[in-house]
Amino acid sequence: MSDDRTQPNAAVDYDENGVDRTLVRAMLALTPAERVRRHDQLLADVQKLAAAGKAARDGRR
Amino acid sequence: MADARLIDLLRVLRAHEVDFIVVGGMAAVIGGAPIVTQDVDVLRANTPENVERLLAALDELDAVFRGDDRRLRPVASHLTGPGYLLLATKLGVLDLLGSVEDATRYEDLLADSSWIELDGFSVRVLSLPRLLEIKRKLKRPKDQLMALQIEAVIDEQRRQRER
Repeated sequence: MSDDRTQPNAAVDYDENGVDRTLVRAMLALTPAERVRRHDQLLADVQKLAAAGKAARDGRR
Repeated sequence: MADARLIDLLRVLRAHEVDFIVVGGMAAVIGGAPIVTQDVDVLRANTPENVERLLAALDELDAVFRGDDRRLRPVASHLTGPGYLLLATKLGVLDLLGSVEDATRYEDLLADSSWIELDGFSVRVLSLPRLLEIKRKLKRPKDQLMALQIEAVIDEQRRQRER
């Protein structure tokens, strides 16, 4: 198995603009309410990551 | 800050019968774009009745102006013009717009919006084609990136209809 991580993931279908169509189709399979709930979970994860990063930076100072 | 619960933020606005249209990133998410946005952008109706309902909703949301340590709360005079208010609430970040583009108001976009059922309540959401039109006019990289995502969603919807 190749370990060349510069190659795109063949399981993911990117379009000519670099948009992950696999993800778009997954979103379209959800109801609007499910899309917003999924979004809220992602946002919470992003905010936790940002907070952890800030704490790590502050700790290094 | 507690985790944002943007779906509940929208629920509170509807519970107070506020007239608004979801625009911006959250409209793209509801339409199916796989993006993450930090805030909810809504275009508000500027009628006196709606301003009153909006103030009641903002009170329940503990809304204050963002980036101001004085924790100032919006009042009616802030909500009657075409400008925008950047607010922090207990359920997440809320941008209240009086207009979009140059001077497009709530009434102007009604025909380009539709009611979408969320979780036991419905909100008016701007259509993806109209949102794309707005995003294409904006030159910020984040708007250009969102435009590409919206285009992809519209294209996937078209493909699914043709199957």
